Amino acid sequence: MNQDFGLALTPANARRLLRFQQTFAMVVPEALLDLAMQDSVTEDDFDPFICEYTVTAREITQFLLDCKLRAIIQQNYHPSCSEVYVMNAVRLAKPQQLTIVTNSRQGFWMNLARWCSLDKITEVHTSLSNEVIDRRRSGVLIYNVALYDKGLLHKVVQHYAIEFAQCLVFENSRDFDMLIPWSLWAEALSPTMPNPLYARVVNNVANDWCNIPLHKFAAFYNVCLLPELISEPLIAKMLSDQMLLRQLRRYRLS
Amino acid sequence: MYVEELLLKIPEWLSELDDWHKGFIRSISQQIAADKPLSTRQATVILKLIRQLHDLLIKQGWATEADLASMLHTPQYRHLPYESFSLPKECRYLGNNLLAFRFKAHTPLQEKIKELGTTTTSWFGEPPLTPHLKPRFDWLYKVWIVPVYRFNLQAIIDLIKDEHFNVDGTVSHYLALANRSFNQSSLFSIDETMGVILANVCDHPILAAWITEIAEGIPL
Repeated sequence: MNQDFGLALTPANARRLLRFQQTFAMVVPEALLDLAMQDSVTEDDFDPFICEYTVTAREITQFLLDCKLRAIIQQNYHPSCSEVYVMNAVRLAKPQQLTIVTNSRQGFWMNLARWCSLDKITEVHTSLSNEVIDRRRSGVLIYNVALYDKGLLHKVVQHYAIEFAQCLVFENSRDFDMLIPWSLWAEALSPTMPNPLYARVVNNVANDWCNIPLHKFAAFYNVCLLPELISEPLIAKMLSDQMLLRQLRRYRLS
Repeated sequence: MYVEELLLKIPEWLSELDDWHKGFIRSISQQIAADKPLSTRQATVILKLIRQLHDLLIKQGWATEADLASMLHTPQYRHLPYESFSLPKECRYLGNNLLAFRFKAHTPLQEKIKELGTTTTSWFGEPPLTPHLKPRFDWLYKVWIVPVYRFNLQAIIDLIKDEHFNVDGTVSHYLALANRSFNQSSLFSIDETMGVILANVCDHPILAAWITEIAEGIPL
C-alpha cells in the first residue's frame, strides 16, 4: 500500500520507469530523462548484413537489453521482430554461453549463431538435461518451442526460467487463437510477481486501473508488448482484454 | 464426582446460559470428550458456572447438595488441570506492507485472518486465480503474516479493533499512511551520492513487486 524502495541508478531502470510513467500515476525526476539517453542502443549496433537497423529493431533490442535478456517475445504482436533481433540483442550483451532450446529448428538457429559470430559459445538442444543446465546456467537461454500444452509451460518453462537468470522466450507467429496468452508466459517467467491479471480479477484496485488495458501491465513482466510500435489495426485489436480472456479460456480448457 | 462429569451433564441450550457460556460449554465438552485436560482458567470458569447454576443443578437431579458442596470446596478432576498461560493479542508491522498477528490458537480468529486474503471478481471465472500473496502462518515465530492490500486494508483495521489487538505506534502510523495512499501517485527521486533511485510506491502492488522481483531493488 505504501512502501519505500531503493533501486540502482542505471539507464536501464530509468528507461523502464519512464515507460511505466506513460501509463501510471508516477512522479519521476527530470534527471531520469537524461539518464535514460545514456548507454542506449544506436544504429552502429546493427550490422546491415545481419540485422538491419529500424526503429522497431532498436526499440525491441533496447527492451531486451534493459530486461537483462530475461523477457518474452511473441512475434504475433511484432511481426518484423524475427529471431535475428533476438540473436543480435544477445550478441550485444556479449555472453559467455548461449543455449537454445528448439524442437524443430536446430539448423536454423545454429546458422543464425554463426552469422552473429556466436557459434563458438552456442549449443542447441531439443530439451535440457540437469547436466546441461548445470554446465550452462550462467549463460543465456533462448527458448523457442511451439507449445500447445499449458502443463508444459509450467513444468518445463518455469523450471528453465528458475535455472537461467537470462532466459528469452521467443514464440513464432501463429494463429492468434492458438497463441499462448502472454499472461501465462509472464507467470512462468516471473512466478513471484502478482498475477498479470491482477487489475481485473482483484476486487478493489486503483481507480484508473479499470480503464487501463491489461497489455499495459505486460512490461512489468518483461513481456515485449510495445503498443507504440504496433500500427497494424488487426494486431492492435488483438491486444484487447477480451482477446486475452478468449485465449485464456481456451488454454484453461486444454 | 469429577468436575468434568458434571459439566457434561449441563446442556448448552439451557436458557439460563448466555451465548458466551453456551459456546464455552460446547467447546469444553468436545475437549473433555477427547479426554484432554482442562486448563486452570477453564476450571475456574466451570466452578463459577456451577456456583451460578447451583439450585438448577440440584433441581434437575444432575447433582446433589453434597456433591456440589464437596466439588466447590475441594474440586476433583479426571485429569489435573494444566497451568493456563496468557498470550496477549498483538499486531506489529514487519515492513514491506506486511503485518504480523500473534494470538493464542483460536480457530474462528484464524479463519478471519485467512479471509483477509480473499477477494476476486468474476472476470476470469472458474477456477478462481490466486492473484496475490495470502495470509500465512509462520511456524518459526508462531505469528500470522498478513500482506496489506487496498482491498483488505479496511478489514484489517476492523479486525484489529473488533478483536482488541494491541498495536504500537508503527502499526498505527503505517495503517494511517496506507489509508491515505489510495489512488496516490508513486514518487521517485534520485540520490546521486549513493547512486540510487528512491521510490515511494503508493497503491500499486505490481510496481512494488517489479522493483524487488525484477529490477533487483530493495525495500527500505
